[in-house]
Amino acid sequence: MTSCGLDCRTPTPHDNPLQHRQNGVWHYLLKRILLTIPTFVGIVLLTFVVIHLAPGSPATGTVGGFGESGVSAANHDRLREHFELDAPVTKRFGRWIMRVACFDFGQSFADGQPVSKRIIERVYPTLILTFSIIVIALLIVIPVAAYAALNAGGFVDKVILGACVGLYAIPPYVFGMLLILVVGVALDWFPFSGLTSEDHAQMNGWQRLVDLINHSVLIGACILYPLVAYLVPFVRATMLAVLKEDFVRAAFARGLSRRRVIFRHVLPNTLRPLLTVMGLIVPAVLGGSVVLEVMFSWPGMGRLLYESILQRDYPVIMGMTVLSAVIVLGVTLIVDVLYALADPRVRYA
Amino acid sequence: MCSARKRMKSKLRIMHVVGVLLAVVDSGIGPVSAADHVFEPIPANRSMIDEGATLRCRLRSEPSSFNPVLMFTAIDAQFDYLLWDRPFVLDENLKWSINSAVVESFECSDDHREATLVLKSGLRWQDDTPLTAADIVFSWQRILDDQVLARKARHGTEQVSKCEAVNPQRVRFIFKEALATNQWSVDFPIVPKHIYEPLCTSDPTMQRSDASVRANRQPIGSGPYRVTEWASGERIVLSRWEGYSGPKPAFAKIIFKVIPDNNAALLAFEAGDIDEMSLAPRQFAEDTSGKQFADRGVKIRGKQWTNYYIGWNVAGSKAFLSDTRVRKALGLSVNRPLIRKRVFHGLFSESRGIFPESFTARDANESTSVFDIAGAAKLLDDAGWKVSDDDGWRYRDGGKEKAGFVLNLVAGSQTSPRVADILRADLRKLGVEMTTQTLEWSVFNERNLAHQFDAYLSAWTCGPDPDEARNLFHSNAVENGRNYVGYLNPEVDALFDRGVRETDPAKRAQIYHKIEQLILTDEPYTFLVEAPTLWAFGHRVRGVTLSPRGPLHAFPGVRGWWTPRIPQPIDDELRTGLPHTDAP
Repeated sequence: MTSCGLDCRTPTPHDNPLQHRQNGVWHYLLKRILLTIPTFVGIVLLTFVVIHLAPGSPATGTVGGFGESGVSAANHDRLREHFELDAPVTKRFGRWIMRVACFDFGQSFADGQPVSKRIIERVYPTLILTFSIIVIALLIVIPVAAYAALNAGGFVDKVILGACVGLYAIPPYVFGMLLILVVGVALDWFPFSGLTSEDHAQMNGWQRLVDLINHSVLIGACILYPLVAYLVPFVRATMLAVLKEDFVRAAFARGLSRRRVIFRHVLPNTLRPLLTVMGLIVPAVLGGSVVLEVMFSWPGMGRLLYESILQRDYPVIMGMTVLSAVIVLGVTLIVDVLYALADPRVRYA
Repeated sequence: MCSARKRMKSKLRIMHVVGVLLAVVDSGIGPVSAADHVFEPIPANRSMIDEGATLRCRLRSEPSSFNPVLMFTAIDAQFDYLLWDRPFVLDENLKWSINSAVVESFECSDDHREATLVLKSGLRWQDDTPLTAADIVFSWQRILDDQVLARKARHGTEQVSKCEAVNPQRVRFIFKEALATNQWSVDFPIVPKHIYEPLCTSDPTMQRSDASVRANRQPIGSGPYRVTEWASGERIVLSRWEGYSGPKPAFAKIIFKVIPDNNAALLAFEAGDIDEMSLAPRQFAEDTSGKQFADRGVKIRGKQWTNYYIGWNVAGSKAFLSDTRVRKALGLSVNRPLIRKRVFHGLFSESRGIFPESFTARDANESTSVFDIAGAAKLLDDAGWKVSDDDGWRYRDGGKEKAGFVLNLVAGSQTSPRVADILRADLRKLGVEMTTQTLEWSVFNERNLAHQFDAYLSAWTCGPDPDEARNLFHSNAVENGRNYVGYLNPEVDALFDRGVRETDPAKRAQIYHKIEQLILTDEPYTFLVEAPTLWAFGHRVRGVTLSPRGPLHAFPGVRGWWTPRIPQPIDDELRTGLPHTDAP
């Protein structure tokens, strides 16, 4: 007690636990966002410098073009001027930053279209595919891994683990080629090229959805199986570890039903590490789909980035870098916050 | 009686087979298979044609623009003759010809300084606006405007010093000089003035503003097709413009499917998703021999004016390559037959010179490529490059300078490293050290433009006029062209300058023959093999013409393709016997 009669002691977590928990989350969120900003700037700056200082340029990459004519130093100089490559790198970066600050990513060197338009056209196929596959993967992984963990050492567990190891060893492009040959060409069950059918525009809403799903099956399978093959052993191992924890044994000892123990105590503690892994998997899946997008002629982000790198389309490469950085950092941030919400030890650390 | 008839039938069958075999042997050009149906021209009787059919073509990547002034890639050029009409076109032999659907008359003055073009009446743009001489003048102005990046269209058009509309149908061209190539100079693309003139007031580049980009992607053309859909990264759909005043093309719709990967494209062909595609040599030789392919289509091999070559930096810092005897020796040590067999599956032919036979007075059977290691060794000895007893390599000036060079290759090429391997092995026997450096395309070009290389492996497609080759061999092209090797020969320069002014075709051919001989003697480039056009077509496709630039880049190209109204059964011979043919 002080002389004024007010309680001036430092509040403890026990004073208002709910408020303190909220403050902790906000504080943690702010800290993570502040950490994200320099990471983002670093990624963008590094990419800009690397692509602009690397040997070769869009002017030399496109000089000449078709046939016998057009190759000349004068044309090369005009191209450099057109692409604004005649200015020093620092000046080019300054100009680019000023444009990006106004949400203008410039024009593609390849076809003159606004970069934002080119990227938007290609973002949704990749994002829809990636996130749908991740959801489907989780729907498969959790029950399969749980079953394997609960029957650890049994025949089914061994089969599941063996299948996972086997599947993980197959490169997706090999699996993809096999799917195209067997399911696409020989059996003719699913289309293996593109995102939509030729008559997609004439279809009604439901038909369009079915058409999209049909086109996504083969490429989706190629993204899905390594994800499942990677996650099942991981979740199984985590679950086995959780099953051996004291609190689980205590719960069983208290007479709780097996179902209640697993769903209330084991699964939530198993899925928490999975959150962290998901934060790492999203960028890997986004980046790893480049080869598959080319193979399946899928008009996604990976293929756009691949084509832009080949064409030295700097504005598109930078636009894709910004977008990828935002997605990856955003997903990482969301995962961190979710983890912090689920486990207070993280935000107090 | 019955058995006698059978015997007779059997005899007749044997005679028929023998007759066919004799005919094939007698022709001397290899098998003439039933795949010839692909070349069947469009019938006069339109009722035989399925005019509602859709053609599905393969696109390796998307075009950069449909605006013909801005087009510059081979992919862009695929759309040129479909979306746009021009007064002049390249026919299937890549000869300059007048497009009778557009031109009423074309006259050139006797002194070759002036030409007059009269357009047909009733020509219209796809929005029904009349196509007039004003459009031609506007297009010429745009192409020569420095703010417009008309990389390909500008080439040659610069020779037209004045282009004026005498009346709505008549255009007069004045040329800077009286050149044999002036006819090419008036072959520039035409864009609609009423569309682009208002856009150019705010965007003189024709490609920076959103409105310009829209106009370039959804063009109002003058050709028989218009763009009806562009699904980014997936497909481009062209639909026949029924208001077209020229000959009506057969296909109602052409769908260009974007399939970047070659293997995926072949699978799409075998699945019936596309009707045509170009084939890589390995695909032609190995991957298309099965029944699955034969069920879907045929493969065609045609002549192409493309030569693979090694360019030697004759003006570089390496003294080794600046000696003609050394370059000759290197040329003799290229085992072309082995390269053709091992790398190009026996599909490529011998490179006989730098120009197609029709441009020169060259003997068609003259061989320019000899493999002679002993002769090469002698030439190197004569040039002072002696084999060292210590390590087997050749040296000059008492071991100070080693015989060797770095060969630059383009990254991603399947064949270049294999060509280099064969060459390296033979050069090793000769005592010359060759190392390779694989560079990404833009870096490869950058090094070439800066003349920073010893040697590079590349390919060159000869243009429709021999004067185009000055960009490779004339001294003016060292700093402002593709003469990366720094080849300087005043005699060659003078001959090029004479050839472009000579209007008599026979005399011109003599001049270019002389140029060819001089270049082959100096050997700034070693020509390796001549690449063919390798293509696959679905069984239903007809009317294909193969130009020295393939089936797509000459007139009428895809415009002349058609498919029969009644599907014809696939001949058993096609399925099993002779699934590919050489183009007639």
